[in-house]
This record gives sequence, C-alpha cells and structure tokens, in this order.
Amino acid sequence: MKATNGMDHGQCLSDETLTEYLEGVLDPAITTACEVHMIGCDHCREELALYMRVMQLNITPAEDAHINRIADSWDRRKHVSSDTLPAAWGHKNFFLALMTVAVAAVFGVLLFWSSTHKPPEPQSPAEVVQLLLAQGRASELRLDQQPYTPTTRTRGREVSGVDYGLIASEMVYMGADSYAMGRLYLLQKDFARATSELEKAEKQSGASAGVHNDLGVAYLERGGEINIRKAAEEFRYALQINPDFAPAVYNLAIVSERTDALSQAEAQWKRYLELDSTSGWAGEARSRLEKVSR
Amino acid sequence: MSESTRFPWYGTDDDLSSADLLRECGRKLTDRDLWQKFQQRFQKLIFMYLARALRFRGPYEAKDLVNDLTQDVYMRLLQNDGRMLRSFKGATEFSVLAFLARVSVSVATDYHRAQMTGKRQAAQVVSLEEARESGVTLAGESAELNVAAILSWIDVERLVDSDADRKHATRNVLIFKLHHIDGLTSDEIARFPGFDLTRSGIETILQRLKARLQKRIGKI
Repeated sequence: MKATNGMDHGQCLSDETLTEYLEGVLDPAITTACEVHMIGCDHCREELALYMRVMQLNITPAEDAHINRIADSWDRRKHVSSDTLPAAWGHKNFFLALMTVAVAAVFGVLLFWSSTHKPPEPQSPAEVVQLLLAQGRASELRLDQQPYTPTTRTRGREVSGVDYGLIASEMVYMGADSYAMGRLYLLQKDFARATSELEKAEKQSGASAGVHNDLGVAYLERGGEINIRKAAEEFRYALQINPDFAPAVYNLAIVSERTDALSQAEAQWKRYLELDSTSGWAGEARSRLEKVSR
Repeated sequence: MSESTRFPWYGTDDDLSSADLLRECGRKLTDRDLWQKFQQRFQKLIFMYLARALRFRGPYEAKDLVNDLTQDVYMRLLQNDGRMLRSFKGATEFSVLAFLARVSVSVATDYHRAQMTGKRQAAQVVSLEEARESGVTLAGESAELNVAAILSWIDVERLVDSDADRKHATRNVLIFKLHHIDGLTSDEIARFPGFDLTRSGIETILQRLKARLQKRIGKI
C-alpha cells in the first residue's frame, strides 16, 4: 500500500489491525502508533472509514428491504440448486452436498481414468494435475498441456467440489515439484501461491515453455497493470523457447484483448489458428477472432 | 458495539456464543445443525457487509452479485479445512462481527479489483457542480470553513502537538479527519469502542479542534 500524501508514516496497517483498533483491544502504545500512521496515511484511514461504515449496526428500512430481497434470491437459488446443481453453495445441506460431491467427483474421475487409461491411476503429482485439468476449466486462459473443455463460469475457488487442500497435501507427500504445485494452486485459484511456486520453477535452469506460460497465466489471473505486463513477458519467453508453443500464443492474444490492442489480438488469433485449427481451443480462437475483427 | 439487536435478524438466542460457534464450525465442517445455526445467525449479516462493501467500493446493482460473493465468503471460511474459523481467537461479539466484516470486505475488494482490471474502465469524471446537483455531499465540504481543504495543507503534526489533551491527541486528530475528510458522523464514530467516547465527547473534540484551526488560520 502506498502513502498518499508524501509523509513518511511507516508500514500500512493490516485489516486485522484496523478492526482491532476499532474494537479497542490493541496495546496502548500500538494504538497510538496506529493513530499516528492513520493521520498521515490516507489509504489506511480510508480503509478504517470503510470498515466503520460496513460495520454500522443501524440499518435503514431500505437497506433491510434490500437484504431481504437478497435473502429471497438466495433461497430461490437454493431450491433451484437442489434440483439441478447438487454442489451449489446455498443448498440447505450444502456442506453435506459438498462433501458428497467432492468424494463422488474424485472417485468418479479416478474410476473414469482407471477404465480408460493404463496405468489405472495417477502415478505422479504431474499426472494428478493433468487429471484435474481434464475435469473442466474455470478460466478462459490456457495452461500447458490442458485438454480442451468449455469454460465453467464460477466465482468460487473450487470448480468441482474437489478437496484441493487434501490433494495439495497428498502431492507434497508425493514429492511434487514447484511446477506441479504451482499448477495445482492455479486450478485452485490461489493465484498468490501459484505465482510463488511457478516463480521458483522458472528460476530453475532449463525452465520449459510450459513453465513460462503457466507463470504468465498466474500473473494475468492476479490482475493489475504490472502483472499484465509480467504475464505478456512470460508468454513471450515461452515463445522464445518454442516459437510454435500454441498455449502462449493463445494467452498472448487474450492479453492483447484485455489491453485493447485489438489489431495485435487479431494477428495473434490468426497465428494461433495456423498452429491449431481443429481443437476446441481453435473453435474458441475462431470466435474471438471474429469479435476482434469486427 | 454490543447492541447487536439493532439488526432485526441477528440473533444470539442460543447457549453457544458467536465466537464459539465460529470455532465449532471450523472444527466440524460437515455438521449440518451447526452450519444451519451459522446461517441463521450470520447469513444476513454477510449479505449486508457485502452489499455495503460493494456500494462503498463502487456502484453495483445486482442482488445476484451479493449471492455469488456470499459463496466466495463461505469458500474462504472453508478452505484449508476451515483454518480461518479454527484459528479465530476472538471472544466478543464485536470480534466476530469484525472477523466476518474482514472476510466480506476482502471478497468484495477482490471482486472490485478484478472488475477494474478486466474492464479497464475509464474513471467516471463528475464535475463538482454535477456532484452537488446529484445531492452528493463532498467530503469535508462546509459552508463556513472548508476543513478538508485546510487539512490537506496544514502541518497536522502541529495540530497534534498543540492539543491540550496530550494523552489522546493523536486519537482526536484521527477523529477530526474521519469526520471532516471521510464524512463519518459523530454518532457513527462513537459506536466503536476503540475510540472510547460518547457522541457528545466526540462533538466536543470536533468543536475544539475546529476552533483551534480557525484561530490558527484565520477566518476563511
């Protein structure tokens, strides 16, 4: 966080410290230090003011009505989800459902894998990630060796009810490297951890185009101008290593779209279709090319 | 902040305190009855925190958005085997409210940041006249003394140093800024135990510091 008025007022305050200040449970010396900081730091004072507004106990009739409408909408979803989306949050028994679906999803995928592939179950952390990649995708971006599946729109971290925490601990036990862990965290949408692991993987000598590509995805998912620039750099690194590396071309085209560089996006989508004209990814590329060409 | 009954739907009619309920939910992630209690007690509170945080971060309309982000709040509470809930150390009702507010604000902030990054929308520029016409109170705007503008260039440290109430000088100046720059009323400030002041106590501080500013700067 940056200071906004040029005064030197030290490190910014965490959300926890701000709310503890409001509660009055900080040590007196720390309380005074916080006050000195917030007098000088507009950002932290604005955050404190935000918490003070959010936590006001008084509720207006209009606000009460709004909250009740939200609650009604939640309840309606709950009823719809009980028929159609068993793992949807908001289900009356949603935790029970979550666990059931999580177990069913993991075992279902393993059963499917075992019936169609040899060896019958994943033998390495990389194969575990590959298995998860085949389940679906929640992002429009493309990871290395990601089989095509249509995008699943969700704001949640866990797309399929898979217990990523359990899988992560199992992967660590299996001796997963930073690349595999980074990819797993990407699937979990824990982009901070994903970035950290993939940066470690990138620093290792001989990092592949796939490592650079996936690190680029992590940066792009984190958002912000600096991260978008970093993402573009990583995709270009990947293409320096392998000029025909299709996922990096695909992702670079998305970067161009997001930065409104539409002519570049158009060229990159065309380039992508030269590399891949038949897969599901190509179908999406074609439709995006049409949009940016209009 | 102990007057939680002001929320018509925030109930604590149970032996289990809110703090213990949070921790129990963290320990028993699949306990249906416990989580029903959680929903009954906190669900609307989470809706409200999210709705308010979204509104203060920027314009929003869709009620479905709050529903979606509520799911994200649950996700965060549950991830890593409910670590956030299990590691909750608070004991008071306020600490529970603050914990849920932190998670909700964080989810709303992440959503807002992602929106701004994704859309890269140009900032909406509104003239001061338009803002006034639309009924928006400009921060710190006051007919007789534009305190916010003055505070932006005076040496605030000197204001702190000159406060006769030495023990609470920094708190008083912070309150002064929260009122005149961030637009919080004395009533809104007094509701937080951290300031340890009544509404009238806050108004006294505001008047005293404002008078000192006027004296220092002269009538504007």
